[in-house]
Amino acid sequence: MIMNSLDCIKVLKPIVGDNLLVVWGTTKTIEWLQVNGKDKMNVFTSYAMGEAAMVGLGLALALPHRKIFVLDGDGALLMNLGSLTTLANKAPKNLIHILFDNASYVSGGRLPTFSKATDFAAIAKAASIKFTRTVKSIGDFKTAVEAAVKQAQTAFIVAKVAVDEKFPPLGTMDGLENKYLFIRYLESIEKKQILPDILKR
Amino acid sequence: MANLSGPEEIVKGLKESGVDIVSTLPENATTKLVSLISKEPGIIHVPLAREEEGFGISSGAYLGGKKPAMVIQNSGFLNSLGAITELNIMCQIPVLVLISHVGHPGERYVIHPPLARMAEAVTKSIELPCLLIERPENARDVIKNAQLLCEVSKLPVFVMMAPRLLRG
Ligand SMILES: Cc1ncc(C[n+]2csc(CCOP(=O)(O)OP(=O)(O)O)c2C)c(N)n1
Ligand SMILES: [Mg+2]
Repeated sequence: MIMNSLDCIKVLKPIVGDNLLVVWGTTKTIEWLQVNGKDKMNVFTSYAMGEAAMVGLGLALALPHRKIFVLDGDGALLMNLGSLTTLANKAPKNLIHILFDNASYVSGGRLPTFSKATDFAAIAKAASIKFTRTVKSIGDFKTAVEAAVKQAQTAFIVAKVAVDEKFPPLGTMDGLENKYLFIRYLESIEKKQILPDILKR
Repeated sequence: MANLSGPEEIVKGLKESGVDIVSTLPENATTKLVSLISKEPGIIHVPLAREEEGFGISSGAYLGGKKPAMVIQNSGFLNSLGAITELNIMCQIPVLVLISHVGHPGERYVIHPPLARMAEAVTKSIELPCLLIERPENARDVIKNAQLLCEVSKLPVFVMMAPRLLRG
């Protein structure tokens, strides 16, 4: 039976720990919050389709001592395939890009994408990302993520997942609330002020 | 009178504002500026394949505690409206955007005027601040004020750079 993204996220939770996460897409954010709760807002949702890996790249460059996990969708990445070359050019050692490929625009109405015929890992490899994997089972997903965390180079993992049966409700958190909760959580674990006190300059 | 060239004054303005990560997509007018930025210690330089990526990268960098800026052409600003809307405006994430304003009066390229017109119209309609620098002697101050405005407003601020400022 084909795995689903919620099971993958359950596997990810202990691996992520104090590291940070950036996610594209309502579905995956909601699944992440379902598994992790809202107390530690270690996830920032980039609603701009195709920008998740770029937000992750900015975070990875700003916080080289932390691992950044990007959870992406096939539809979103198809919208900005060129960004894999931008990522590969900087190749931060601390970024793990996980693509949940369900060959569908699930959160956008469930029509298929054309990614059934697309080998995303080969595209990433051709863009010069050296660590790439395509996985289809939970066991292989766990092995791939654990291997990615241990090594010090940009990693790209394609997880082939099922089209979710139910579309989880969106919830009430908007991007602005997400930003503040994320920054405040980061301030607490980094023990530094991120939002500047401009009057004190 | 500024003793330095336009691009040198711009880099001074960025440094004095504390900008520490700059995403760029170069073109004729910004060749010198982008080269200077790529060699500047204390600035992480991120070359882009498409300008919209820079708004994503800058947003992530800001969340992580950096002060981001970008150097792009006005055509690239027009390429970036999705990310500007869904990241910078929706989440109130600032970024200083230095825009090579090709098609500005005084220019000779027949293909550029529509870009200048459209970019100006769009910055007005999205109601974000848009400043202009035409001379090296104003560059440093305008950039420092623009960065401050970015930080206090928590929104993008656009600085249009006249192509003649960038030569030299
Ligand atoms: C620029 C843009 N175009 C279209 C949409 C509408 N839309 C919302 S979700 C979605 C599908 C996302 O698919 P994918 O990235 O594969 O994620 P999934 O929901 O399948 O996990 C689309 C097309 C959008 N949000 N932004
Ligand atoms: Mg999908």
